[in-house]
Amino acid sequence: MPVITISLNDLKSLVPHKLTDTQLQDLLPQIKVEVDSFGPELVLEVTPDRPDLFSAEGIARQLILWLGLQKGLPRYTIKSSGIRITTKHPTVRPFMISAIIRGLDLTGPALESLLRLQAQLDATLGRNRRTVSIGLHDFSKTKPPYIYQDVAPTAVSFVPLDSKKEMTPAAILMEYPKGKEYAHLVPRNCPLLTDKNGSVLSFPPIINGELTRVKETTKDLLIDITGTDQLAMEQSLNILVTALAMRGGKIESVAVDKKSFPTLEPQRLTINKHTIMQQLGIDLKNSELKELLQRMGYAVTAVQETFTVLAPPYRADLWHPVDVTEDVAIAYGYNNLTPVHPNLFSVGHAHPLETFCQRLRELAVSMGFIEVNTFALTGNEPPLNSLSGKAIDLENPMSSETSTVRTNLLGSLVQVFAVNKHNKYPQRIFELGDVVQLNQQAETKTDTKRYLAIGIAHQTAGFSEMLSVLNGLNTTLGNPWKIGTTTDPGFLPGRVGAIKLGGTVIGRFGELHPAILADLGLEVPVVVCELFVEPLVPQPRNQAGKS
Amino acid sequence: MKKDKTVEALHPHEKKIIAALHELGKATPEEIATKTNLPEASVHKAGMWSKIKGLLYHEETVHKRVTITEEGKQYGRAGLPEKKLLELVQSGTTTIPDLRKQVKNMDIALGWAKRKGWVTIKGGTLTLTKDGKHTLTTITDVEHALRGKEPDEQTLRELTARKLVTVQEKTTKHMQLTAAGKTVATKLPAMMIEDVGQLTPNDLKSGAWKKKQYRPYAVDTPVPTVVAGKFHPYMTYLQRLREKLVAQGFEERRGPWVETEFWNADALFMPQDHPARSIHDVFHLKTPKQGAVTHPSALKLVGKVHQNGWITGSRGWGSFDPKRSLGLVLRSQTTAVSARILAEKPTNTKYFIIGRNFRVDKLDATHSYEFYQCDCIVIGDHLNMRHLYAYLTLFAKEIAGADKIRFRPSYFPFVEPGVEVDAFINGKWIEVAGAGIFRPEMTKPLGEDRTVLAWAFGLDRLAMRSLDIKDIRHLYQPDLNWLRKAPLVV
Repeated sequence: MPVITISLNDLKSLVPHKLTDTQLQDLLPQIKVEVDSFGPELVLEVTPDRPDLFSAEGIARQLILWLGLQKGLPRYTIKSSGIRITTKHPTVRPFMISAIIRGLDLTGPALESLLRLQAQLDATLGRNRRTVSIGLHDFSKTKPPYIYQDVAPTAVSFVPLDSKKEMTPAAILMEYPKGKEYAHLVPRNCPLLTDKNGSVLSFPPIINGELTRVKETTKDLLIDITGTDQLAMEQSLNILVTALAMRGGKIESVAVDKKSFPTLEPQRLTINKHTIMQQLGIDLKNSELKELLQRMGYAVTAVQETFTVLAPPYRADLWHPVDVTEDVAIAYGYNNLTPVHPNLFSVGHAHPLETFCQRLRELAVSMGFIEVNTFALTGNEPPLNSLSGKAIDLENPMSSETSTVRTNLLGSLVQVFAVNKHNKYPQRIFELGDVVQLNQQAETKTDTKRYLAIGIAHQTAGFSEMLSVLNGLNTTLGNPWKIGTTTDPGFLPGRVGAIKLGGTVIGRFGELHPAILADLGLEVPVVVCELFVEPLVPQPRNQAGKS
Repeated sequence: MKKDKTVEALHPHEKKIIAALHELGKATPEEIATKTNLPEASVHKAGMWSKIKGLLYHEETVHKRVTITEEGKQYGRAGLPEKKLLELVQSGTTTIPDLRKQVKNMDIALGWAKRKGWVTIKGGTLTLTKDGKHTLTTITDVEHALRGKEPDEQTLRELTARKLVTVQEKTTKHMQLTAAGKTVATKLPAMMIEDVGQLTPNDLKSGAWKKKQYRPYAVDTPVPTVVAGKFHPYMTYLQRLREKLVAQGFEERRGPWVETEFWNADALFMPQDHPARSIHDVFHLKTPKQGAVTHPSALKLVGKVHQNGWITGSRGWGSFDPKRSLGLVLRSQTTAVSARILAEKPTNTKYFIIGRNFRVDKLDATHSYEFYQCDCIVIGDHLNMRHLYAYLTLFAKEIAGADKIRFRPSYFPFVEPGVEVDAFINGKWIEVAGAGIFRPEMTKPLGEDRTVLAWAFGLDRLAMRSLDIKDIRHLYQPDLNWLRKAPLVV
């Protein structure tokens, strides 16, 4: 979840009602803001669906509504600035929108808050600047109108933010830290926002020009937003301008080609009271529901059961009427909903495989074996790879020891002996675990299979000891399998057997090859077996359950 | 009576040794071995047992063996150099240079002659003292010793210091009966009938056991400990969880470790560019890379929901690439299996999955890239949040051992309303489960029109808390010593 830092005093000063620290700590989690650390600097985790809460301004606005200090849909006045941006539709980031905020006081925590919100929106809604990227400028340093267009990487040069020398876009991508970090987002030409004087305001999504740097003294702000996802761009712009309005900024629109931004159009949703009541299991009067909706910032018109709501323009999380249901629950108070058991009868079943595995587990323990549980991600390196078939490789492994998914259980089991050399012998262990094997016919081109692996290690461990164990299992299970001969590079030649169910080999057992033991530094013989469990599971009777 | 018991408890070897010592008085183990026909090792072993019982004691004698060195032998034949020196001074050779010409080992000779006070030196000329003159007429102790006489302590020290002899010490062990041992010995003859340890099948068949004397054992004798078989504590925890869920009417399902992105994310209404789907969070397969379509209608409808919401009333995510759906990943959440259940037209109303999942993460005491989750769903026509709360409360108490619980709004792409469950366990609030009602964007394209309550528990941490395990690696990296000692999970 996105983690944000805001000033506690700033938050309190934005809410026109005295809140104690305890009240705040109890309240914040009820509006989707989790408190990681409470102090002068609040560290908060906000659920990623609510980018409008990524700032002190946004959280304060939600608190004001929730506490009923202000009711219903927040209204915003937008004045036309008469300023225009012409876009020539750059190839990689074709869209741009913009707004101007006037009369700001960015002293104190306001500037820091704005810059943090910008960065957080770039990272989340903007998918790390790929779909949305925000530029902020001191409007007074620019000369409208503006042009947004593709420019050849070496055609112009400007002083990027935090720098002293002029650089071309090409040089910025090669040398400048942010340029290197985001160079992959501008593979061909470079989109630039320039003003009437030809000054470069912004090279989205990389960097702004130093010329228009926003400072505490900045009064009027120009916002440019570029990207590939128009909805997310508009949501970001709405969140920014409404947050700044909380600080007294006056919103002015900017014409981009033929359209004017921001629109701050409330979202209209039609919801059914009956549906909401059914989803929450409560019964409210129309007036009560209306009150709850208003406390989440909605404007409400009700005609009997049908409620038409207008949602604040900063909300980016309203996909479906069910999202309004959650808002009603938040206003109602999550902990005011009381549990009620449904009248819903059902018969429980464990998965037949799991029931059978539990019997196997009991059998193995009764024979003196200790159960182990091991990681399924393994390496595919000597000597243990001689025990596996074709490896299933990961695209993005973390290390060579965890670069494949195991295709058998023996490797994991032998590894346990390898890391327990300092522990007492005899060692008798088993594992019931899943492995993944290729199957071209399957939906996932693989099957996940349950295996049983057993291993014995001590001074005189030998083939017959493991065969005795297997025979013991076989007898208890009603003699499902027969022992046959086989060859296997992982075993001492002539001391490896196949476990056969009908005509199919379902397992193998024998004395581990001394070359493997020597490689692992094991100084005692090791006998092992592994067995594909699923074919042994008895078919369930009197039960419709599928597996 | 008390002594008789002692006699009865004797091992046959002990009896033989005691009898032999009774006859020999004092004897070495070799001597006893010869006398009793027992191997010498058995004599030592059984001797120790009797010694512990206070029936005999060991007596150790130390012998010194003196061997004359090559140098010593030479002096024995040719005389000591200092004696030679005295003789020369007596016969008139008195200056050091002259003497050096005739005396081999002149420095040794002069050193000893001076130390013993046989000569005085003045201006490089030697004069015999009274002792010196007397010495010439006698045979010294050292000379005696070099000729084979046993030296006294002082002489031996001198000989050893001059490396004319070497001394070796040898310890001889003798065994001797104590007073108690002697008493036992007198009772032995009567008891020397056949005395048996192991009860044999032959004795049972023939009835010979009736005539035999079975030696009583010392019941607290140390023996090797049997290493018991044992369930893995975590596997037992999971089995207990399974039993509890079955008892509450839930049916268990299982799903594959390798999943298509369709089931792992698309069907859960996670947008295709969601950061939690990237290679930084989810393991993607290199080979094979792509799965097959087995539910074409679900794929089509899920695609439409992502595009524009289809008929669900949702606005969707605005984009969908069906090719991306086929990408193969390691399952990162058991909710993938819940989606599969819904697509299979479930006939039951309650299902659970206990399964292992995989996410890109570091491995240390509190993090692991493999982890177990339990997903539960309840399907019904008119289910609501309060019903969900009832299950969550029951589960938090039954499974997490919560004293009380509280709810917080939360976000998961596939549920709405979403809720996070905090449990108060051992005086601390702990996040135990994420829950909610599956979104219509998830249920409808899979063909499920009813309400589906859903919740998921992360199991590793709950188990660690319940089993008092401090390091998550104990769940996945077996240390046999730890496992052998881990308390039994009941």
